[in-house]
Parts: sequence; structure tokens; C-alpha cells
Amino acid sequence: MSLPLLEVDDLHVTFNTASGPVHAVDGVSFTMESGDSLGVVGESGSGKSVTARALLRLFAITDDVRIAGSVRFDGVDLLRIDERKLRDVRGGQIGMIFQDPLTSLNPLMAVGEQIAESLRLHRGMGRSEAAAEAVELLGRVGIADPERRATELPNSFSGGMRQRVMISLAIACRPRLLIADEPTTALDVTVQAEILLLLDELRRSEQMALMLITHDFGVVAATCEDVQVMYAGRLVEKASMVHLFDRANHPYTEGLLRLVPRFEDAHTGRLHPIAGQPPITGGGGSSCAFAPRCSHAFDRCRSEVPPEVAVGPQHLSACWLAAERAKDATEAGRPWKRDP
Amino acid sequence: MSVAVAKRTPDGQSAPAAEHRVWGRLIAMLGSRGWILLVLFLVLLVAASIVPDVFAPHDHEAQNLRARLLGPGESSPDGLHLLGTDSLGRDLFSRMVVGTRLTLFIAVTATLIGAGVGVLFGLLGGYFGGRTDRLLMRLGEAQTAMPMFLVAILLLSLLGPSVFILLVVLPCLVWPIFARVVRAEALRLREETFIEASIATGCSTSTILGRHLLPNVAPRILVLCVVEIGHVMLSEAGLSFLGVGVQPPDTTWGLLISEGRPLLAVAWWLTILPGVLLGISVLVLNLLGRYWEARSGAAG
Amino acid sequence: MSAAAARAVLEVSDAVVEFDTDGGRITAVDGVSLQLSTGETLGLVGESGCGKSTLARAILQLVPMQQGSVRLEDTDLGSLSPRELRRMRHRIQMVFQDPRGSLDPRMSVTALIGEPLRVHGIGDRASRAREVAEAMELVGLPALVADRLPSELSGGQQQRVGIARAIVTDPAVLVCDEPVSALDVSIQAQIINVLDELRDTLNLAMLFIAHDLSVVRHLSDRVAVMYLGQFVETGTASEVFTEPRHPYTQGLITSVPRADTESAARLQTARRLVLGELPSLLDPPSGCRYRTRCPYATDRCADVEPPPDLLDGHHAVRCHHHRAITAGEHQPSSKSMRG
Repeated sequence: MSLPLLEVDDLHVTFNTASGPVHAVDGVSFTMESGDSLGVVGESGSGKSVTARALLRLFAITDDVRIAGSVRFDGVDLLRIDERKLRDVRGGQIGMIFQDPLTSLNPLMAVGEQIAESLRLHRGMGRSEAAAEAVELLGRVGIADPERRATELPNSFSGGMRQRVMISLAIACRPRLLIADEPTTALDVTVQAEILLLLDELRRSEQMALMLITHDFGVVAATCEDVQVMYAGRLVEKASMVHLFDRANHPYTEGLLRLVPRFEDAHTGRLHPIAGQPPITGGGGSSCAFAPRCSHAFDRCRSEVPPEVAVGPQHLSACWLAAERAKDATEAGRPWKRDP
Repeated sequence: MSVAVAKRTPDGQSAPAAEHRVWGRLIAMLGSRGWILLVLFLVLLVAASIVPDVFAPHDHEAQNLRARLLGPGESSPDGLHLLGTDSLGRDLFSRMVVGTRLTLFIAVTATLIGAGVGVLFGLLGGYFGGRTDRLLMRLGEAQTAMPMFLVAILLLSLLGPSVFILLVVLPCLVWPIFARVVRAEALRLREETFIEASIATGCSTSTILGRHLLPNVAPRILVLCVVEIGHVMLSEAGLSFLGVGVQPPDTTWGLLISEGRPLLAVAWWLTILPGVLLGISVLVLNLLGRYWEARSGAAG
Repeated sequence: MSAAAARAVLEVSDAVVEFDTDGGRITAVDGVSLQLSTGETLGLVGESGCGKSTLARAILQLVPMQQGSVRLEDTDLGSLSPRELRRMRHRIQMVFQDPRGSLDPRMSVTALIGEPLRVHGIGDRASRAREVAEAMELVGLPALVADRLPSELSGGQQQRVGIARAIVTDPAVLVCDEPVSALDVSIQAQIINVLDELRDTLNLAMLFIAHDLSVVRHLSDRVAVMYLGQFVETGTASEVFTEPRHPYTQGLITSVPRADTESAARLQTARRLVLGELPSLLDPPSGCRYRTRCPYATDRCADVEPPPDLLDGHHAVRCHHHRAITAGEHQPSSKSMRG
């Protein structure tokens, strides 16, 4: 028997703000095994980034934040170890990359040196060994002429190259889990394509698990086998990517999938937006958070939180109509796809 | 990988931290309702300058040689002298009340004139940049570099002291401060898309400056005004103290301090009490300005 | 072609915009020409630094052009005095990328939307109020937000205010610079629908700039693909998107991650069509701008700048080899076979 690599159980993250508590993450549970690739999809305020940050307690000192639940990584509850031990995990066993690589890199330090520093710290390498490994890592993430570029400062790199540097820093200590928070949102599509392929290749070659946080189903489709959709701090649907495309169950997932103008279609009339806007105060209510925007909502949705229901193999949906919708989907085929 | 931790600092200047901390602590002491006390104090000052007779228990010019240099709390046949009397037996409290009017008038008027010039120069310099900006800012720097207080003394002793000259000299002390703050704000706002949007809409330059830039810097200007009124008050007191400011029979707090100084050893109250009032006023104005700034900073 | 040109409300000829940067002078827009007719949408796509936003600002005369002309309803905007230009501005309006930043934070919704009317002296107070209310309804803003400040609105509402302000003067041309890229996905669709409806009801000529190809595809009648300051391919939306001829257009389209099962495989293809890094504008490649990243590049591409090659209709491609590539007679060179 083996423990899962990552086991998140009933995670709650609450920010105390001037205008009252905000339940950014409201009871999220999931597991990941080594080599898994999980896409977390949601809009801003859905709690997808906060979930990732909570795993490593990466919050600003000024944030008044309360985390509850458990995050077991390799059997150790990360929420209950002290800050010093957690620092070993951060950048050691769990690597992380962000949307804007520039803010995560020290602007006054050559990139090779920054990677080497991390190697000395986490892998106990000697000075010259670490420097050589840094160059090797830069080469591995596709940076041409790595010896020369290792000596340059972050701002002499383009956006895509900076993200590569960030990735090489994140994988420097052979993490077992790489968390990528909107890693390509700030990049152009052709650069995004390269970065996504790089992440996919690294996951396979380094045997690490990849958790990719994004608002774009296309990005997930290119890099992840599993996907979970978040809304207002809760998981609303969880499935394998292939399965989700065929059988999106939750009305929110369905809405997300059909509101993006599909590339293959020419102008075919108006889009189908989801009315209203996502709540900004997070979850925490005693109703389905999506009910106000949902065209299928009925009384029960407004009075009780729907539980996660299994609607297929490895497929969960938190909707009172989940079972019913799953049956319809089987009969009608892809419910979110427009008529042929 | 501690570099990965996003360090969010509250935006704003990291400027003189120690000074900020002192003000910060004072503001924190005020709590959420302390500012009402400050405003109340200012209201009293303004009321005293509008209707001094209501507050002054005695005629401020009435001399009584038999009631000279009475200490605070002593009484003469005319009644109680709350803060004592001066060498001519005039009631100090009444004189302080009456002096409030000119003190406030000079401080407020000079600050407003300085603010007007500074805001205009700051807006023009910040928005247009280039040569206009360099010229205006050099002017401000040149003036800041000059010991303006000495220049003021020189000017006032050459031309003879008068309130009018004070209203020319004192604004010179404050306009560069306004110009600097407004310019920095205008420089920042100029890069905002809404300025570009208003150009695209077809707004003229004067509309952009007056309708879009000015209202957006106005809160900072107001706060600065409140603080600077206190500073101008202090400068006026300094000039009057040196005898080149307001001349008797007019009176201001600064002049009262000056008149009491030779008698400091025998009648401390004549110098100390107007000084304390001046000090409190400057402190209150400073606190209030900074309090508002902190509040609006947190809200925006 | 001549008929279209006659009806064109906006005609840009040979626009050149140069900038001084720390590293030297760059040509951000390099000889771009376009025409736009009433009721038509031209989509402009390209990656960051290709000059698409600069072109938009040059058309609106927000940045100076070194060469070329912009004709709006037969008036050459470059020849106008500043005052005349200001008077002309209500005929061409712009929607900005940053919805919050483009609104004066101290003005109410009605003041913001009414400002163009006031500035141009259109109507009296009462008629302006009516027009503002009408514009709010057109963009789907509820009347109860009329007195709110931008900071009290959601991102989608802020962008609706930006759009209402742009259409309230009944302009002939609407330039949208990445109008949805700052918004949440579920809000993007709402705003796209608003623009789509407005274009039809107001018969606007629209220049729609975005890096999101599927959004451009959805809204545009014609599309121009921009690379390093030049149009490399222009044509109708279906020509450009279903039969892309230029290797860059092909690479760009293939790079878009789509939500389907072939997503990863498609990105592998994209990687073979767009090589290396974007060259610096300070030192643009000789000949064809794209040759340094093109798998099909030959010596000729370095020596001779390809002219636009007009295929059937409006489809124009700036590539020496596109006919041979389409016919399968020209294979990628070996350098595309790396990693």
C-alpha cells in the first residue's frame, strides 16, 4: 500500500478583511499521485490560486489569514509543521511558478546564481558544482547558450525566457510536485505553446506531479489528464479531461466550456455568456454558490449546499441535478457543444 | 525558495521611516473618533477669530497699571485673569483670543496663495513634462536652496514690515512643496489610461487639467494645506518674534511670544502660554492632515 | 475593390510610426495600409510588440506618425490643427484594454458617459441625459448604477461604461484595443456580445485588436495578421483562419490551445512553425521580417522583402514561398528539426 503524494482534506482558507471574513477556499479535498497532472480551472476569485498558496502557506505577512483542514504531502501535514521545516519543502520537494516570473526573481542577481543558491541550500551542493548544475538546468529548459545567459540579470530575458528561468529554478531541486499558477497567462500564444510543452515534457522526464492553475480549458487540455473546476471557493466538478469534454456535468462547467468562442466555428450568432458575475466575497454560504447565475437552479439549490456526487468513473459533480444531468448527457452526447 | 514569496508592501513612500512611525503612533492613539476632538479645537479657533468678543473676558487693549504682570488665575478689580496679565496689565487670554484672527488669516491666506501657485506649476510641469517641467522645477529647487527665512527677514527689514509683505513672502516658503507633490501626482496620473481616453474623447488640455487631473490630486492638496497652514503659522510667528512680522497694535501669537520674551524670568506665562497654544495648533493641524491622508490612503 | 474603397469610412495608407527608446530608434509600425467600411469589423491579431496597439493609437492621432495618412470620412486627420482634430474626435472613438484605468476614478457613470457629449457641445443638458440613458441601455448597464463611481462597479460593468462612452457620440469608427483581455472568461462573452450587437444596431465600422484569436475570429469580417510592424497576411476571417498561407499565421493559429483531445499534438506542430525568439525591433531582420523564425526560410528571404501577394479576393500574403508551400513543393529546412 502507498500513501498518495498529496492529500488535501477539507481545506478552508479565510481572510479577515476590513469588510469582514472572506471564505476564499471553502472545504476543498483532493489527492494527487506521483506523475499526476491536475488542472485547476476557475475564474478570478474562485479560490484556485489561494488553494495552491495554502498548500505552502505562501501568504503575505500583512494578510490576516486562517487555514483549516489538512494538507498531507508524503504523509506529513504541511499545515502543522513549523516554518523552518516548511521552507525545506518550498522550493525543495514542492516547486512553484507564477504568472509573472519577474516578481519572483531577484532583479539584482544573475539568474545562474539564483539557481545555484537554491541548489546549495536545498541539495547541499558545493559552489562550483551548483554553478555547473545551474547552467545544465538552464539548458534543459530550452535556453540557448546557457553558460553566457546564466551570468545575466532577469530583466535581460524576454517574458517567455524569464518563465523558463523560473521553471528551471522551480525544478532545480527535483521537486516531486510542481505547482504552476497561471504560468502562461502573461505570455503570447506561440510562447505559451512552448512553455506548456516544456512543462509536459519535464513532468514526464522528472517524474513529478504537476498542478496547473488556469482559467483556460485549452491550457489544461494540452497539459493535464485530470481537471477540477472551482467556483466561489468550492470544487464543483472533478473528472479526467477527456471525460469532462464528453460529459461536463455541472452547469457552471458547461457554461465555461460553451462561452469561449470555439475556434473551429465561424461567426455563428451570439455567444452564450453566463449571466451575472462571480461572487467576490468567496463562499461560505448555505447554498450552491452558483445558484444565482444558474438557469437550472431550483429551491433546494438556494437552501442547501450540494454534495459531491459520483456521476461516472473518477467523475464528481457538486450539483443537486448531477445524477439527472449525467443521465441526460449519456443520451444526448456533449451537452455543451452547439448543435451540429 | 524564499524568493517566491510575494512581498506586498503597502504602496506609498518608504521615506523617513522613523518620523512616519512617530506620526503613525500618534494617529493610532487618536483611534477612530479622536479626530473629532481635533476638529473641535479648530472650530474653536475659527470661532474665536470671527467673534473674539464672545470669548474674550476683557477688552484686550484695556490697560491697568495696578494689575500688571498678574499670574495665571489671579484677579484684579476687573475680574479674573485666567492666564494672567502683561506688563501693561492687559488680559493675556483676551489678547490671545484677539490675536487668533490675524494669526489664522495670515497662515490660511499665505498657504492658499502658495498652494495656488504650487498646484498650477506642479500640474503644468507634471503634465507637459520636458522643458516646462525642468524650468519650473529648477525654479522651485533654486528657491528651496536659498535660505528663504533670511531672505524674508532681509526683504521685510528693507521694505518695512507689513501684513501685505508677509503675504508675499510666506507663500514663497510653501509653494515648492505643493508643486513637488502635485507634479509627482500629475506625472503618475498622466500615464493612466483615463487621461489618454479623455484625449481620445476630444477633451482640450484645459479640460484635462481642470476636470481630470485636478480633482484627482485635490484630496492630497487639501491634506497638504492643513499641514502647511501649521508650518506657515510657525514661520509667521518666527518673523513676528524677530520683529519683522506683524507690528503692534495688531497682534498675533508670534508677536505675543516676542513681547513676553524680555520678561521671561519674571512672567513666564507671557511667553510660554502663547507658545503652547501655537504648538498645540501646529500639532493639531499636522495630526489632522496626516490622519486624513492615512484614512484616504487606506480607502483608495 | 474600388467599390469598397469608395465606401471606406477609414482609410490608412502606408502608416509608419517610429519611437525613440533607450536602445535607439525603432519602427513600431512599418508601412501599414488598411480600409474599413461601415458595418464592417477588421480584426487585428499579433503578439505583443507587433505594433497593433501603436497602430490603433496612430489612427486616433494619439501618437505621431512619421509617414502615411489617416483619412476619416474623407478628412485627412494628419492635416488638421489640434482644435480641428479635437472636433473630429467624436467620429472615431476607442475602447481601452484596462476598463478601470480608462475611467476617471472621481467621475460618476453618467458623468463619464456624458463627457464626450459635453466636450463636443452636443445637445443641451436634457437631451444629453437622454442620450446617456440610451447608451447605458444599449450596453446593458442598469439605471441604478448611474451615480456610482468606477471603483463601485465590477470589471464587466466598467468596460460597459467604457463602451457606452465610446458610442454615445454616434461615431463612425470604433477602435477596440484588447477590450476583453483584462476580464474574467465568463464576463468576456458578455462584452463580446455587447460589441457584436452594437456593431449591427449602430452600423459601426470596427477595428478590433486582440491577441485572442478565437475572439477575433468570432467578431471579424476581415482579419489582418501583424508581425514586427507589418501586415504579413490579410483576408476575410475564413480565408485567414481556415486557409492560412503565411507560415507565421499558421504557427499562430496552431499555437492556440483548444479544449479538445488533440490539444497537445497541435502544440507540437506549432513548435515546428514558430522557431526561436522574437527578434528585437532595434535590429529587425533584413528581407522578410519572419525569416529568422520561419522553418521555410531561404537565402532569398534574407535578401528580398516579400511584397504582398494578392490571391483571390482580398487575401494577401507577404511570403515568397507560400504558393510553393501550399502546393507541397517547398519543405521546411533542417533547422526546424531541432528538439
